[in-house]
Amino acid sequence: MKLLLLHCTESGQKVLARLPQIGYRLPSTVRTMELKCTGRINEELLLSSLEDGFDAVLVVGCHRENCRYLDGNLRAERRVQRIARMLADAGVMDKKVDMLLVGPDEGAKLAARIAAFLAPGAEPAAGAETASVPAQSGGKK
Amino acid sequence: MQGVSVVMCDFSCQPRKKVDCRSLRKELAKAGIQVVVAKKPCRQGIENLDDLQGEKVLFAGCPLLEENGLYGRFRERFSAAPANFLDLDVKRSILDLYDDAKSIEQALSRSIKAHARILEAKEAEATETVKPEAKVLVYGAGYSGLHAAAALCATDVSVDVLETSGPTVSPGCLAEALRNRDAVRKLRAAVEQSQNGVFIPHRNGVRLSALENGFHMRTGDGMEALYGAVVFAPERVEGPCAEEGALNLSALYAALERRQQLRGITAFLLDRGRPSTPEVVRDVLEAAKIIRDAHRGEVWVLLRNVQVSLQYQEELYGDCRDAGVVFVKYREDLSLVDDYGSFDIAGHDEQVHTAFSIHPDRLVIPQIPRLPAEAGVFAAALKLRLEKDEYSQSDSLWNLPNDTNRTGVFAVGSARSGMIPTLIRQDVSSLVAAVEERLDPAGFAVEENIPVVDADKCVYCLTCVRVCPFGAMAKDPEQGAARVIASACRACGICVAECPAEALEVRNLRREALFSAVEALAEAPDTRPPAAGSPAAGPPAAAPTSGGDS
Amino acid sequence: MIVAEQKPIKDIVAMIPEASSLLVVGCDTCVTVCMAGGIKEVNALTSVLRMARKDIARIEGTSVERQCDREFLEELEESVQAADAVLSMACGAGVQMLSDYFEGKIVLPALNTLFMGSNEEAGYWMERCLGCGDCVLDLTGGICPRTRCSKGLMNGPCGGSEGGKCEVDPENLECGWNLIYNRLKALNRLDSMMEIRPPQNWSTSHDGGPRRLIREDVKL
Repeated sequence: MKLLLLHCTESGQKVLARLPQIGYRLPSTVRTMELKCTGRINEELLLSSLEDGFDAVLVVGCHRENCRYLDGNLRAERRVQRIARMLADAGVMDKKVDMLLVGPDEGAKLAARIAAFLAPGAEPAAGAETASVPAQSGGKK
Repeated sequence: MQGVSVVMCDFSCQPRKKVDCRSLRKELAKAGIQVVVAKKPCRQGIENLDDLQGEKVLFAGCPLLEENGLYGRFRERFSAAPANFLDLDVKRSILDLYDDAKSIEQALSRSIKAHARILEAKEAEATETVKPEAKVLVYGAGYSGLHAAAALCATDVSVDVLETSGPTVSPGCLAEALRNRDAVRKLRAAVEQSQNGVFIPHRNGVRLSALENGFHMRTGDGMEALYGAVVFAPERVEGPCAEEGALNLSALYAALERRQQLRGITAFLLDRGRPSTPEVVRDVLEAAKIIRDAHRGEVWVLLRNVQVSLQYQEELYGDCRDAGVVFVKYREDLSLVDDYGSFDIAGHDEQVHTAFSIHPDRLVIPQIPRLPAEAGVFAAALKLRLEKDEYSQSDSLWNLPNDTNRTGVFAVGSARSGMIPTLIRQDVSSLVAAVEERLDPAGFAVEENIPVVDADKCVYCLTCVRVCPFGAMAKDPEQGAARVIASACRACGICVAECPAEALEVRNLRREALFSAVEALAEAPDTRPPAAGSPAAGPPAAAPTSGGDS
Repeated sequence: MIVAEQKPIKDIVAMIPEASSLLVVGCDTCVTVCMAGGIKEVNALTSVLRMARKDIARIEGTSVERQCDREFLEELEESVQAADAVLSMACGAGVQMLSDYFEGKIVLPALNTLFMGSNEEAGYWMERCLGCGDCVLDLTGGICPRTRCSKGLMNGPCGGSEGGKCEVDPENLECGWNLIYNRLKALNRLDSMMEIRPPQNWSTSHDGGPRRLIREDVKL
């Protein structure tokens, strides 16, 4: 299940950097693309990514009120919701788009959401933070 | 991609994740990308530069190479435009994120292809430097505005002060202004007497437009001027009380200033409908103390919340209690009967669980301080965002300390945050630094990747002008299209996403480059066995196995 | 300008008959500005349709300056001939022109055309004009009693006006005649409201077949 993480330079890049610190490695089916701000994302980018072969696109941006460009993350969030609704209404069940708002320290939340995406047949649950957080490897560096 | 070469570190510092550079090089060569592998470039530099054939170079390395100046030396040697180079932080975005060598190689291959496509499409543009206008416009000649103007004049900056209603003081600063009666007057005199401060009456409205190097203002009286920076520093005002005969806080302080005798019973009624802000509470407490100490009147303070969030506020409560101020924490069932200026207040005190009833000679009900209408109009003319409660900064951390959503427009005092005198003074010193930086005659650099408008495609719908959070897009009547105010643009790309006609492009991330980069990331099947559907798979593929930490 | 909105995607997906090739055509004028049928929307819709109607072998998208002018439709000849069906993302006028021009092709509307209105702010359009053919804005201070008054009264307001709101939707809908009153008052032209006017003559509005406009000095 190929997943594209479209993330911003602020929280997005920082929370990705957090993942190895909590012992989480991305599976090779997950690919990342950095944008300055998630506000740069529009319907075309989301849909063409799905057509390129990604089964799902997860947009990772800053929490509301924290966007460096003030409302980029809010626009991205609404856009993603709109496309998700459109795909569901059109009966497209094998492709998903979603957005996660994170702070730079919320690596576990991101890891859980990615795991939920990749689990076969599972719906990404909103409260998945505590669900499938991977165990930390012993002897952390 | 004939024009792109990749200079790649061999990552020999990562023994457990040994990257097979040779096979990677072959694979990328098939895609038309030349790869030069450097051995330990952080120690040994990059030797085989003469082998490079591409006009554009993608560095695939780690932040160490940036830190020890290697990229910088490389660029100098080639003295090429920034558009010819791109750094890819392989360590952070690939080595740290992926687990085994195979995943890393695949991710590296895909990522290099994706970034090579972006680099190929990247256009060379000279970085512009904009020389700002030299003058500053301060909106507001009250407590905040005068502090700002005086401080700026003292640094030899040329200041015009746009004055609407004279030396007003926001609730929150009332006690301070009363204590230092002459302070505000002295500030005004300082500005007037300095060589570089001028007061302009704000009577018939202003028209403001943003330029590359500042702002153009035209007043309703026909005066025109250019400014490099604008400081938004209005005072807040209280409306009158709904209850006839009751005083708002400003009216009470005006009475104190007139040295009016405040005998009898004075009651302060706070937190009605909305909690009073801490600074207003402080002014109430200061006034209460004055009335007890100096006028020997009986003072009641009726509130819902005891607020001690400001420095020394707790002490002030203590002082008030020592002075004999009566505090009542009232319940919802408070009754206030207003009989043409004669009041009856009754209710229950939650602290001591008893009923109370008073008939004050003077009732003070602090109103919610708001920006006056003219200030709102001025803000709208500047496309200044006023968030909830009319503060020019939302909860966003990015605008601290004095920035607003508009580059070159700063806020201080009651438009920015609370009306706390000590904070306003601190605010003013950071403001002076910010304005000095903005007005630096050497100029400020324009963001590297501002959007470009395709005037043929633009349908002049004004969407970009309206959605830009920073007011960096404007109309260009000559072209019949939108134009970018480069010095205000922060290159976020929101306008590019919103433009209905796809007439905007960001130089470093053009639509085709972005789409094609995503395509490169999707390409090539994953060679790991899929975890989905296999009964022996167990936990999802994402869960890492413990052990083997590097 | 003309404001339109994309039909619910369910309806669009269901509307397209069996076909092996579908052409989606956008329009670069009004529906681009109201973000319903421009090139972006064409690209997005073709993507979704490719995923939702895998039975259609080929789905392509394109756009022309305007679909209400024949000369622009000429440019589509080749692509339309190659398609079994055409999904037009233009307003009703464009869909009909396209359908007339390419007789014999199935032409489907992707949008619901809504109204003539203004772009009040980014992302927000409001109906302003009905095209009634008998403009009375001089009498009402520039506020239209047809579009802004729920009943289209000529001598409002009615008894359902309360607190400046219309009883049809007291939370969101302003009473048009209240707005007219305030405007005329500000203009010092309240005397205009004192005249009782006859009900509107709707014969200048849509009334028996399509209305036409001919300039005899231009059409010889």
